[in-house]
Amino acid sequence: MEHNDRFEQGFEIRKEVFGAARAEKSRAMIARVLTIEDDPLSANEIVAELEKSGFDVHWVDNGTDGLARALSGGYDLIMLDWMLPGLDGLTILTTLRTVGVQTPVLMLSALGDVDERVRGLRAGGDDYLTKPFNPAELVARLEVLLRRCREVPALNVTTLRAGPLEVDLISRKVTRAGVEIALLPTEYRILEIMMRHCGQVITRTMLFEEVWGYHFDPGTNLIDVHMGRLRKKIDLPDMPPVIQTVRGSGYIFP
Amino acid sequence: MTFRWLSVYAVTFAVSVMVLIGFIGWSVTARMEVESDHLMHWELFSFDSIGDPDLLDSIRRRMEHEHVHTSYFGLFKADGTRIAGDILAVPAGLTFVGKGGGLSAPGVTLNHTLPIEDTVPLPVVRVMAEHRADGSQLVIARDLTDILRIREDTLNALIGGGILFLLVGVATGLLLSMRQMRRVRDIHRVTLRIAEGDLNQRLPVGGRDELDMLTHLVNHMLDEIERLMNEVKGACDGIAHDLRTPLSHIRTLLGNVAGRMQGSDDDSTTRMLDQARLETDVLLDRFRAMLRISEIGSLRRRGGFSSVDLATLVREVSELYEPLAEDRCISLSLESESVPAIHGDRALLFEAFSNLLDNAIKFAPDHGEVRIGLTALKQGAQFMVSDNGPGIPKGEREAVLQRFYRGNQVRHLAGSGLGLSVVSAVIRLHDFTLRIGGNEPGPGTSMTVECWSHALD
Repeated sequence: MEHNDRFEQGFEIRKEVFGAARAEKSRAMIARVLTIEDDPLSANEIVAELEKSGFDVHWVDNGTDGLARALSGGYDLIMLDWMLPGLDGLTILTTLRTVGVQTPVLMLSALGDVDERVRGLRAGGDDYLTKPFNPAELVARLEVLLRRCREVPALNVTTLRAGPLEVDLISRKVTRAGVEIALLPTEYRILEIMMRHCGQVITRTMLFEEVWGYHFDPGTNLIDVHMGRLRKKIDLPDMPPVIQTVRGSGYIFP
Repeated sequence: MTFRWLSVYAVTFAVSVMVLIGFIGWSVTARMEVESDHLMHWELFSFDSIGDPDLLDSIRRRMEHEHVHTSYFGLFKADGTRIAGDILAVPAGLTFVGKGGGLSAPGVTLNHTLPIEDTVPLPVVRVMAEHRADGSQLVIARDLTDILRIREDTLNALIGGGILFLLVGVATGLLLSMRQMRRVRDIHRVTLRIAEGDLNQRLPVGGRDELDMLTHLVNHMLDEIERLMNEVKGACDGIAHDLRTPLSHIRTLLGNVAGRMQGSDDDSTTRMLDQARLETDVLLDRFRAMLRISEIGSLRRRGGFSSVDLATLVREVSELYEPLAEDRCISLSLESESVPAIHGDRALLFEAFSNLLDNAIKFAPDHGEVRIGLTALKQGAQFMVSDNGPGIPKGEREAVLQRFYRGNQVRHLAGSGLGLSVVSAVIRLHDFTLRIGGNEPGPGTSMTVECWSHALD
């Protein structure tokens, strides 16, 4: 699929930005993902999709075995279905967090119940996805979770830089080659999020959740229009756009 | 209503009591007069049997027996001079019993006018007289004072008791009617809630009367309705839920096929595959929206409710859609007054208002105009979005709130037809009201959300 090629491309560019050594390291460490999911069809899809994206996936079809596997450790990520035979997702998550397992957990649920999302996140879940989901959405979210836990967050970073573009996180000023670009708060937030997750695909839904903080499908091409505005301000004519569109998925700041 | 009936009842009751008292009073008096008349007749009769020479003696003897003064006597000559007895003069207006002691003439009641020796004040008496054979007049009177007092006491007791009876009756009636009224009000309140869709509510029970029998019947009916509704809802949700998994499988498979087709030159097949994927996406979106509506509808617990500042919320919604409007050269204006904070679910309200604005922008023509207004009214805040699009015909305005409804004039536009149902579900959850109107004087639509509870009206 095309977006996967782009995705790989993103990885290549990321190498340059973040230094070859670290990228090599993360490349060498193939992420191990545990999928606890009772529907074999969905599970097969997930496994196929994740393996295609370069993850090492283990699948367990019930809650009891899932908890045992998760406790035994050795996973970088856990995908947890809400409704499971044996133990339900929430119980597994609570148990894991109680005994001190801090592996990032992505909750999966058939219903996008608002309360369910809140309960899941409160119990220690790191992200939440409603079924059926776009595989690209799943991969993008997993990547973000993975990087969030692998990289020690640099607390004293006050500026983000990419080529001639510079974002001052404190004064919220954006400059290109020293010239200040006036951005609206929304545009600034989009740029900051894209740059913080550089080299990673950020889907429209993720962007909407991060920038506006709401969890529904805003529909139409709302996010694209906002992105278009931002691009008009930060892109130079006759140059490739700073933020690229990944077809079928979202955007990437290479 | 109940009070009106109660008043009618009380008046009827009072009138009956008065009639009863009047009847008793009248019959007692009549009976007493008849009794006195009988006695006096017998007395005259006995005097008749005494010869004239012995009469004076006989009267004196009778009077000696009268220590308590219940009877008075008087014997007068034909010219009215007193011969004997304690009655001082022949009173006027007497009817005389015929000679021989005929019993046909009734006595006469004299109120304090019969002159009697040594008695002050003069009593009320019943008087009867006759002409004796020698032409003298014999007058006999009976004191009615004691009997009158008994009658008065009886009447007083009856009137006092009647008034007390009436008061107690009215008070009890009032209490009972107030209790019934309260129950009816309770039932009214609950029915309103049920009408708004809260089928968990049941009518209050607890009177063990006809109203209770009715309440039990209605409650039983509600149980059945709720069960059926749940079954229908469960079936709908189940269908939407179960169909989503295979649909998403189809979508993935189509994606895989499209991926394999990438290298080939078969453009038409690729186009068809894209179209198929698009249609699957539309289906999935509709299912998602359907489940979401049902989910919002079942959000009974208002756990997610908190204080929401509508002005900020509306500004955020407006900012979110501003670029979209600008993209199509639609002028988007916001007029916001400061309104009091409301109690609600911020995320759901944001979604609902976004949906309304999204619709307005969707239906407004390029270079059109969309206005957002937040007004502070007496009852609460009012949110309004108006556009100058084609507008919704009056007859279709109710129908657009139904699931999947798409107006005839807008079938060409993208959309699931579920957006307004989501809005409607959110509005209902908050007890708010959504009104659809025209954008007078021009064409277009205005959507108004009245952000206050109508259950309090």
